[in-house]
Amino acid sequence: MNRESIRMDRIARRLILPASVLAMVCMLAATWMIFFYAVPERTMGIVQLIMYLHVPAAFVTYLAYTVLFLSSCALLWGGRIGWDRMAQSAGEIGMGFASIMIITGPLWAKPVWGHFWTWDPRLTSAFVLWLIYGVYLLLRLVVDRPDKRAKFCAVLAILGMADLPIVHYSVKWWNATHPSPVIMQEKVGGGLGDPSMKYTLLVAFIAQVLLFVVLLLLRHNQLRLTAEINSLEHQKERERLLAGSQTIQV
Amino acid sequence: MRFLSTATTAFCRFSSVIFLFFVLAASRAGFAQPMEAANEGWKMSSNPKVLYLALSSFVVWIVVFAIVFTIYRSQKQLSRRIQRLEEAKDN
Repeated sequence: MNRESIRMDRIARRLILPASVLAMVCMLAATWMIFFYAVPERTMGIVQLIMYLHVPAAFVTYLAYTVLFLSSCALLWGGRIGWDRMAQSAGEIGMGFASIMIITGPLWAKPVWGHFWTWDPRLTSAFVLWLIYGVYLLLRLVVDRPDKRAKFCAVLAILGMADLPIVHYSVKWWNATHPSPVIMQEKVGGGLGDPSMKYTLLVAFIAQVLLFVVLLLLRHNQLRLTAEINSLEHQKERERLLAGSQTIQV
Repeated sequence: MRFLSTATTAFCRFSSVIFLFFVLAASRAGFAQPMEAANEGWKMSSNPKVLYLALSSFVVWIVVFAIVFTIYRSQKQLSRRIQRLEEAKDN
């Protein structure tokens, strides 16, 4: 183990356990608040409570992609393979949250719009983002050489970043079925009508962001360990082959 | 080659200006509908809409558990490999 790896291990050991406990507590609190505390919206009724699962998941999808993009930029800039591990972790966890967003959206849409899916700009661009995550993970499986894989995936992640603002602003650029953002929109007539709505959304946001951070740390630490074990196994194999060749010479 | 590089740079600059224009226009434009809360005395009653909410919550937990389970499985494999390395070192 080198010095950097020992430092990373220490940070991970200190952070992961308290953050996991906090994330789980927040997730349980958010679930309780959604079902028993938050007042639903007047016209949509109970089904609007899906917002507290869908919106934070969409935010974490953005967050994960931003981590993926920045790690890919850092990798291409500096060439340190550690950034590739961070990008891979963000890609894998981001795919999970993107799936939550893609599945909970139609479950909310069906009782409100009357259909699960429409090729609305927001929905289509969000689906494209989900596909980008998928292609990114597939590319990781397809390319064998680690250095080439890191570079190809970084380029794909950087190109895919163009979709993120399209997803976010599509509801403002085009006439969309998907509603415009409600939160942080008090100045333009938006906002949440009841304090219970605000508190529930806040707890749901904290829970999902914490969960993302914990899973990212766990996965990143695991990938680092895998790389170290791989190098130790290679070293052992080399020593074994060297010992074998010396025996033959004798 | 030089032409390609100049054209790419020009394209990137042009598209970033256009993109910034759209972002600025979008952030200034528009209005949002407020979300009004239901009247007092509402109840979480059993109706088909609850099913959608329950399903959404189920999806979240299933995805989270799937990720945790995958991480747990690969951690187990790692532990096995570490054990094998330690055994080889002892021998």
